[in-house]
Amino acid sequence: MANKSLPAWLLAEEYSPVRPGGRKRRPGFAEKTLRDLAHLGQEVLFSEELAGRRGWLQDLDPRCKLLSLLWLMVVAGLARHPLTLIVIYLGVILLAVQSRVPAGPFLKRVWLFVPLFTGIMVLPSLFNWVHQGDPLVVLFRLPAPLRLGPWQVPALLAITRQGLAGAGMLILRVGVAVSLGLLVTLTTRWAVLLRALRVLRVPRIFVLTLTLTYRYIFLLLKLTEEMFVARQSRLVGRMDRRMNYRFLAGSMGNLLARAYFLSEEVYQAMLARGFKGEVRTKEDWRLTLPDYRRAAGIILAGIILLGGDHYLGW
Amino acid sequence: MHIPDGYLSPQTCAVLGAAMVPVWGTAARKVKATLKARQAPLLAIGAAFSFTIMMYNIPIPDGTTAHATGGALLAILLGPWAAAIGISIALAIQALFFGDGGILAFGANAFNMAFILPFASYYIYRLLSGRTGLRSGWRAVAAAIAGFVGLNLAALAAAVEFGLQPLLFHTASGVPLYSPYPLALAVPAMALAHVLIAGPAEGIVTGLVIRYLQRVNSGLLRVYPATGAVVAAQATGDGASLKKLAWGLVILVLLSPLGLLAAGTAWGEWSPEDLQQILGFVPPGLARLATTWTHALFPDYTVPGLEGSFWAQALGYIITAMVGLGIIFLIFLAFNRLLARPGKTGADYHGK
Repeated sequence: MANKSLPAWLLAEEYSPVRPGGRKRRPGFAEKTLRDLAHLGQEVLFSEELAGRRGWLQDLDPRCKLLSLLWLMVVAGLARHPLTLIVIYLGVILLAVQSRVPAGPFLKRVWLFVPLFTGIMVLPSLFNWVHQGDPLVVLFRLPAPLRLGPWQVPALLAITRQGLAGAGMLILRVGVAVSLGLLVTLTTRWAVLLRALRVLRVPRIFVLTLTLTYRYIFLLLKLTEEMFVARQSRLVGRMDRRMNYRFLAGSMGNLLARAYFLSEEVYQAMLARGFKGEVRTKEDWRLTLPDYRRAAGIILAGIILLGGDHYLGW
Repeated sequence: MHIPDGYLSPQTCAVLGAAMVPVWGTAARKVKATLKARQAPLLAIGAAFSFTIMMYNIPIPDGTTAHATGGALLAILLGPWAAAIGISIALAIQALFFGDGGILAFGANAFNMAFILPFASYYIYRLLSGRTGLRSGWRAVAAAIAGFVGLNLAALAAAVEFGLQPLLFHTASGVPLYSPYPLALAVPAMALAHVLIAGPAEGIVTGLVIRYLQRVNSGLLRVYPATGAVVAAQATGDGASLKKLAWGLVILVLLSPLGLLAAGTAWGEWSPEDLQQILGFVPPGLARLATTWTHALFPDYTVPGLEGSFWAQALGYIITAMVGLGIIFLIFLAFNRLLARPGKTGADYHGK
């Protein structure tokens, strides 16, 4: 590309010229943000669709569902023996099957990420350098502790039984807790779930704010996406760090200003429709016998599991 | 820094959640008093804004990206109480709908990011920016520092919560039931990640946005704290209640020696000599640390020379109480000077 065919404004700044071919660039912060936003939209659609199906959990009153699954999470948190956690997880699978939750995505969402992230986090604790314990797999054994300058390497490096058991318990516990949380959110429409929080004595004003937040998150995310796409589609050449930071600050500041004035407009709109500051939520749920039966079943199962755990582990 | 379920015991989560309940209650009351009916939309959009900021990827110098929370920004602009509610709501939505952060661990996450972060950032910002003009460049730097320090304090709290788990919750054979890393490992690990990566991201975001707002939309920087009129109204109501407070304090100071009538030492407040008597030995760590500070002016609340009879000791007690109160007053006087709003003097508030 000869220089005289480029317009003057393109030659003004020191941008590197656009070259055909070459390697694909690593995604920058703008691409990553846009990708995260897209994933979010995907998740929302997926769970709203699932929550609309008929199934064991979908038909359960949302307040009963919330309370009984919270109880199961507490049981999973208090468990001291891995068998308890495995039984809870089998129950979770059973509930998922009964609620027509597709097994593939459900299992992948949990067991693809949890062992990876939790496993990496917990990896150093396997070794006896973190916690003393009964060695299970000895990696090396020196005749005497080694001195490397100011540090001392202990004579024995082994994977301990306690470390392995602790790591296993943590991965299992996190997996079960995440699965339980996922089950609640996949089988309940989100607006309904927010209103069901009243059963936990969350004040009405918080529930109203939560519902409004949920609605406006999507608006603000859309605004952000538009700002980022607008910028990316007008980019020629590469940006340096200063311009990136200026863009970030500008987009956040702009978003903040727009959000603040949006809140003013929303308030005026609410006033114009008769809002006086008092919140009344319309809850047309009625507890029926199947709701009581199912909730009682889950709570009873939790109590039995706690008893069994006490017998096994303590 | 969102703590997932399973890393903290239900007992820890319950304690931290219980600690957050009065914070939320106070925040709801304070926000209602200042904003009245507008609070719901403003807080909702503040929470949505905080959530959106948590989705931004911030490029940091070493080439990767990090996430900021926007908590310090919200605290500086809307005040710590409104920020506490806004961030709690953003965290609730993240925990419930996006699995980011545990549901049982919500109390702990809220304690770290919706209590420690906004309050620390806000007061550090006020302390540092003091009376400088609303558009001065120093305010942006102060905001950046406030964001950095606030986030690291929140990370420290999270690290302590992690580090206490293996100490308090393990089976008889030593298997850790929740997070397996003790304090000596959890604190440095979290500190490293947050001082090097997340802290600078938060600081950069906070500082840059404040700078942007100073140039483009400085009206948003005047939303909080309350304007001059409200401050003046608060000032006039002080006289009568201050007198009652002073009398109340005097009476309490005069009654304080009553405690000397009780025999024995409070549980857990034994000196090494007491322990030697009770147990027959002194734990070596305790013996080593017990003599760290030997410069007490009034050791054990006694004035040297006023020992012996009960009345002499009581007099010593009252004197030390008055000295203690005097020191507290001086410290708060100093804080008051540092945190005074520029609007009170009126000089450099408008037009700068």
